Amino acid sequence: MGTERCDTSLLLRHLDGELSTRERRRLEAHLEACPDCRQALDGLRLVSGLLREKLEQPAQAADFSGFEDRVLAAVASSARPPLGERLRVAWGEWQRAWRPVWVTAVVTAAVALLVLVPLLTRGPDVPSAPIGPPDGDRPQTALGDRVDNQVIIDELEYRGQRSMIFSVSKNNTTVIWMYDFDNQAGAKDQGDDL
Amino acid sequence: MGADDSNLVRLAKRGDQQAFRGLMERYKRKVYAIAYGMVRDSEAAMDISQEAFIKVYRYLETFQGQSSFYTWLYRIVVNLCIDHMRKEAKHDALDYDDMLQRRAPDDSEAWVVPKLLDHNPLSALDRKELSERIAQAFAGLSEKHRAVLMLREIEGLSYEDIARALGIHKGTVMSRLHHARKNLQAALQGYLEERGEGLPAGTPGALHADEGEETDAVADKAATPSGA
Repeated sequence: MGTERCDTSLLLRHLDGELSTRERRRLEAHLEACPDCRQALDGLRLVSGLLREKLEQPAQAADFSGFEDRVLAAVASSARPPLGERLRVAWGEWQRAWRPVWVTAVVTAAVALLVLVPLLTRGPDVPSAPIGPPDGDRPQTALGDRVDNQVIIDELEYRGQRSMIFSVSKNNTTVIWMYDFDNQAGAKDQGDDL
Repeated sequence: MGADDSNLVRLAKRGDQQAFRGLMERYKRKVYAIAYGMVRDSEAAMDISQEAFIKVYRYLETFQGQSSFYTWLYRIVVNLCIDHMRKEAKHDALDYDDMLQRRAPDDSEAWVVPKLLDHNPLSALDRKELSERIAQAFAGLSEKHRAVLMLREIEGLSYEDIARALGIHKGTVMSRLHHARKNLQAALQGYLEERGEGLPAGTPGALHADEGEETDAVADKAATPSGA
């Protein structure tokens, strides 16, 4: 740990309790070996403590007598905000509260469109000859039927594993399968040849 | 939000004034501390504190409950403070962002954290003197940096909660905290140097921070409900 360089940013995040367990352990090990960082951390703590004391003093000295009554009196004597204003604020709050959800949904939908549209529109260009894994390795439908007439329409690599996407026509229906050759015993060689 | 907050908020939403009083009793001093730290005026800080709770009461029905009540409350307070300072034009503090933009690039790459000498603890007088200097350095920060530092030091909010309260990114919170503290540490450094204990910049062993500053272009001002 002694070889790790001194990093003030890390000390600041440590001061704020924002380090992960792993980061904290590494820093603590570094602090044991580094008097410079220990002293610097003392300096940061001193300034932080003095600032906190200074900032809290005015509130301790302030007179809050009748505070709640004054607020409630002001609320009672003033008109409710107009409906339009309340709706505007409510809409802003809703957007803020659900931003992570709707941003994720929009991004997911956009990615899905980018991936699916080209796949679906490439259907007519695919070779008509059935190509695919040996019969014994072919995936089964939920009902346990063998799927036939597989037509490979794309190949992709994800996390180091190659997968095939192919459509299966049976009983006038089309199914798209994600078939991972690398995870199928005996199918690896076949996949590599494709 | 704590379980007690949730309960009080739920009751207050239904018009229970006792519950609303409970929220005020719980948070009024913290709200005042933030307001005072921002506007540096006791009367204005009290007015802002009251106005903040009036807004809370009026807009409580819009509170979604996805985040903590206190982050929502502090956002209202900070926005009121910013509005107040802009209206009254009382904030003559150095705008740290402007200063950063004007500064030579090589001047912003590193800063030194002064090291305290173990064998020479600060006396009560020293602490008072240093405390004053830190307060001055704090007052010299821009409103944005003061707001972040207040929420961190007084309220003990996490970076994530500060980001929610101010409507900015977490990276911006870290960046602002970093620069605010850099200024405060400069006060300590100056003080130690006067006492002949300072560690001049560039001294081997002096700690240089990675600036890693993120663009602070997001949300100069926290958004409503204050807009409200």
